[in-house]
Amino acid sequence: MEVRRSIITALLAVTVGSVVTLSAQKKAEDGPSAVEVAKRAGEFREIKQIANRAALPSLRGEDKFILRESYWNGTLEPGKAKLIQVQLFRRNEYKFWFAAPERDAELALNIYDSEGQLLEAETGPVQEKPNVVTLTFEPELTGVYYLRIASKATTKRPQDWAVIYAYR
Amino acid sequence: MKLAFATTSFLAVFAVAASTGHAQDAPAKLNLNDPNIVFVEESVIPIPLEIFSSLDKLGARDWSGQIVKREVNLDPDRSRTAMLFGLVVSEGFIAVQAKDNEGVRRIGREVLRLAQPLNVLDDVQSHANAIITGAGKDDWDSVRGELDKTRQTVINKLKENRDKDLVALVSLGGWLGGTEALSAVIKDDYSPEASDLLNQPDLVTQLKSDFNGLPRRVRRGDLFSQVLKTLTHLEFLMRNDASGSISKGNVIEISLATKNLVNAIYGG
Repeated sequence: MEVRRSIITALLAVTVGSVVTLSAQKKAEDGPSAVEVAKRAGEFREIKQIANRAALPSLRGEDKFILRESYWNGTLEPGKAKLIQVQLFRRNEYKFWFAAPERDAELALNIYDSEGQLLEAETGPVQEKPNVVTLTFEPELTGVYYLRIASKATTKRPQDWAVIYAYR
Repeated sequence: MKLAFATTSFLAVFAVAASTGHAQDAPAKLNLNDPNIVFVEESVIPIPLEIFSSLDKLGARDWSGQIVKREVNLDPDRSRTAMLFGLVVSEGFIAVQAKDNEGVRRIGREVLRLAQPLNVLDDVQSHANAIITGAGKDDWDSVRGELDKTRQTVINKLKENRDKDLVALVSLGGWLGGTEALSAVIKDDYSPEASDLLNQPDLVTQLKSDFNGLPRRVRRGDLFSQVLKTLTHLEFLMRNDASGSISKGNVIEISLATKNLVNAIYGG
């Protein structure tokens, strides 16, 4: 009787263990839940708003830039860089804003051509907003360019970020 | 403000910094094939008005001729509906460019019809209404902004609703509709200078890669075979020559290829 009980207990343990493992695997395969995705998207939209607020002065007046609703976002490790591929069109002028929530993020934004050559562009932090960097650029050719986004190695922790852009 | 200059003198040192992905100062040269370089996966596709803005700097064009009233016939294929959604929004941008009130109002109504099967109706309702109202007041700035918001809202909601596979198809439809109009306008009044706006082979490669990355179940059937075939053809046609322009012959072919694909998507 005691032996049978032990066997049943062992079988139950194996079954429960398998179910837990399978369920964990399934969750990993399914990725984050819809709630988690929505929460994260909301966090990134808040960072986008930081960039949007910094962009406001450029979106007014006779010769204003036209802001796109699309944007890029992600997380950047301290001291690391990422590249964003973007198609730009000759005769347009573009302005990009790169934002992170923390004021000591020490962001850098540069632009490269399709061969990987650094290009001349006006870039620097937005006045009184050290956590937003802007870059203004007029492409000489229509084609693909690469924005290089980076945060300094002195930044304490990974930075969530957003990049928006406008044209005129 | 500071100016960043391409300095070749420190090329070697900076190339090492780039290859390890450290921020430091911006390297003067990047090896784009370096496996250590991290690219942001998200694609942002230019809207038609962004391209038209460049073209208009070369002189006024007749955009009204690019508004084609095609009937939207819905079927249960949500992948096709996603491409139609992108197409319809791009037509909205063309109608804004042509300042066609009735065209924009029709687009606003179509947006609502297409949003339902994509399960995003509640999210785009206010934008679609604002499009219709803005067109009634000739408030083209507002209509442009609302069209872009509509597109982005749908993309955001599809991601949140775990319909991420449809996002690439909305983007593809939007790009296709804009390219059809752009190539038709350039074809009708060809100049090498204007033709360079069609120099988008890398963007097509990106769209093709996004498309090929979709699960088979969302790109099954003849229509999706045609999508892939057309993108492959466009990838070749959209490469500029040594002078930086696209030949008139290629512009005609781009116009025809995009028109055929748009018709096939509408045809159902």
